[in-house]
Amino acid sequence: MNKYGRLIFLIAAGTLSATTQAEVNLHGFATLAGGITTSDDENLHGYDDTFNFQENSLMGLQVNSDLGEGLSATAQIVARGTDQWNAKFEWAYLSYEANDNIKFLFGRQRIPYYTYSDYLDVSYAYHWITPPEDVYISGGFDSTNGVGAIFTNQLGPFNSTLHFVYGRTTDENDLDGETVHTDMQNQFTTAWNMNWEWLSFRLGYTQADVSVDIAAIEQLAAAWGLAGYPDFTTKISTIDDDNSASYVNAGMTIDRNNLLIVTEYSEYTVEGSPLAGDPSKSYYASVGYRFNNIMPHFTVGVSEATPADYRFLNVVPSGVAPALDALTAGTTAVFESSRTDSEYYILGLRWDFHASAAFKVEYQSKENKLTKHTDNLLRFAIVTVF
Amino acid sequence: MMLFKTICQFFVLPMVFFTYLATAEIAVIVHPSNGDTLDKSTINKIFLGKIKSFPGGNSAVPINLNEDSETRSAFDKNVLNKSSTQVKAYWSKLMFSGKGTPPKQATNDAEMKSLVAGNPTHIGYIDTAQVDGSVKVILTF
Repeated sequence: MNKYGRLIFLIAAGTLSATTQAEVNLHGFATLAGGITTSDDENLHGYDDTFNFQENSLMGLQVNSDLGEGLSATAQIVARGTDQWNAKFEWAYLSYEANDNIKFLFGRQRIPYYTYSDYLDVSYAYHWITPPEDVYISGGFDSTNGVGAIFTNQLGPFNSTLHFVYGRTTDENDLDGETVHTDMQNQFTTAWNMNWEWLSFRLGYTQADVSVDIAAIEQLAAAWGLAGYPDFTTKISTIDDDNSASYVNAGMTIDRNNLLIVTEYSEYTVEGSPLAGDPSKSYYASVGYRFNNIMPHFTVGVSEATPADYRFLNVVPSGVAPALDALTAGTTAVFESSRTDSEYYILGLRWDFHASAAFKVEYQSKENKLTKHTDNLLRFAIVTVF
Repeated sequence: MMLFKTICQFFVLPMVFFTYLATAEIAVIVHPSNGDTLDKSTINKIFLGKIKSFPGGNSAVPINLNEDSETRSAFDKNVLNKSSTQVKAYWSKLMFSGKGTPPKQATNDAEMKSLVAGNPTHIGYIDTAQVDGSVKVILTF
C-alpha cells in the first residue's frame, strides 16, 4: 500500500472508529400472559372459555444509539402473540435534544393519548396486566409517522412536560376475517403532564381525520345513494373526508409511599361516522397498596356511549318498500352498535418476586347493562424489563 | 490474656459498632471543583432526570451504583423515596417512551469515586466510610 493509500486507510479507520464509538443501548420488555373466561357464553377482551396465551403476550426490544451532539436514533420492535409473533417496528425515530428542555422527534412514534399510552406495552411499568381496555383501545392507532416535540420545564415546584405530536398513519387490521384499511390523517395530539413529588395531573387532546374502510359500511352508504337519498352517504360512509375524531383526556395519579391511586376520564367522538358514539365516555378509578413486594389493587370503571344522531333517517317513509325498510333497519343497527352502557371492576395482585420481573394475577368482571350480561375474565402474567 | 480481653472490649467492639453506623450513612459526592450547594430535593430531581443542571448552571450528570449495592438501595429509599422496583418502573416508563434514559452505573465504590473525581459534571454517592480527598461531599444521609 503506498503512502496515499495508507493515509486514506487511516482516515477511513478513524472515521469508522468514531462511528463505532456511538453508544448503542439495547433494552427490552416482555409480557407472558394467559387468561380464560369463567363460562362458555363469556367473552372479554379477546378471551373466551379456552385458555389463551396469545392475546396479551408480547416481547419488545428497543435499540437506542447516541450519535452525539444531542442526536440519537431509537427503534422499538414488538412481537405480539395476537400477530403470530411477527416482529413489527412500533417506532423508529431520530431525536434531537436542542437543549435540556426541548427534544424533537422525527419518524414513527407513539401517540400520547392517555396516561399510559406512551409505554402501553411495558406491563412492568404499571400495576395491571394491561391498563383498562375500555379506555386503552389498542390496535392500529397507537403510533403515527410524523414529528413530535417534548418540552420539559420546572414551573415553580411542579415538573411540567408538554408533548406535541403531528402525523399520519395507515394500517391494515383484520376484522372478522375481513381486512380493514385505516388511515389517520392530520393527527395532532397534545398532552400536558404536571408532576410534584407524588402527585401528577394530566390533560390530553387529540384530533384527527379518520378513515376506516369497511366494505359493509360503504355498501350501505352507496345503497342510500341509489335509493334516492344521496345526502345520507356522507353521514354513513367512513372513508369520506368529513370523519373527524377528537379525544379528550384528564387524569390524576397519586403515588405516595405505599399508596397508589390512579383515575382517568376520557371522551371521544368521531363526527360523520356511525361507528363511534357521540360521545363515547370511559372513566375509572384504581387503588393499590404496596405491602413489601406485593401490591393488591382494585379498579372500578364505567363506559358509556350514545350513538351519533341518526334522526336524519326519519324522513324515509316506512312500510312503502321492503328494500327501503331493510336499508333503514340495517343503518339503524350500525348506529346503534356504538351504544354502550357498562360497568366493570378489576381485582388484582402484583408480586415483585425478582428485581427485574413481576407476577400478576387479575380478575375482571364486566357487566353490559344493555344486555344484562356479565363477562368474567381471569388472567395471569409474568412481566419483565431487561 | 486479661489485657487482650480489655483491648477487645474497648476497641474492637466499639469499632464494630462504629462500622455499623458508618455503613448506614451515604455521602453524596461531586468533583472537588464543584462549588454548588444542593438540598435533598434537588438531588432527588437530578437522579430522576427532572433537572439536568446544577444550580450554578453547569451540566449535572448523575451516576448510580449498581443495583446489587446496599448503598444504592438505601439511596433509592432515602433520597428518591422509592423502592428499587419503583425506580426501575419509573425509568422503564421514560426509557420505553423515548422521554429519558437512566443514569450510568458504576460497578463499585472505587469506580464511582474515579468517575466523580474525573469529571466536574458528575454527581454520585458512596458509603461515607469510602470518602477520600479525591471527591467533595455535599450532603450526607
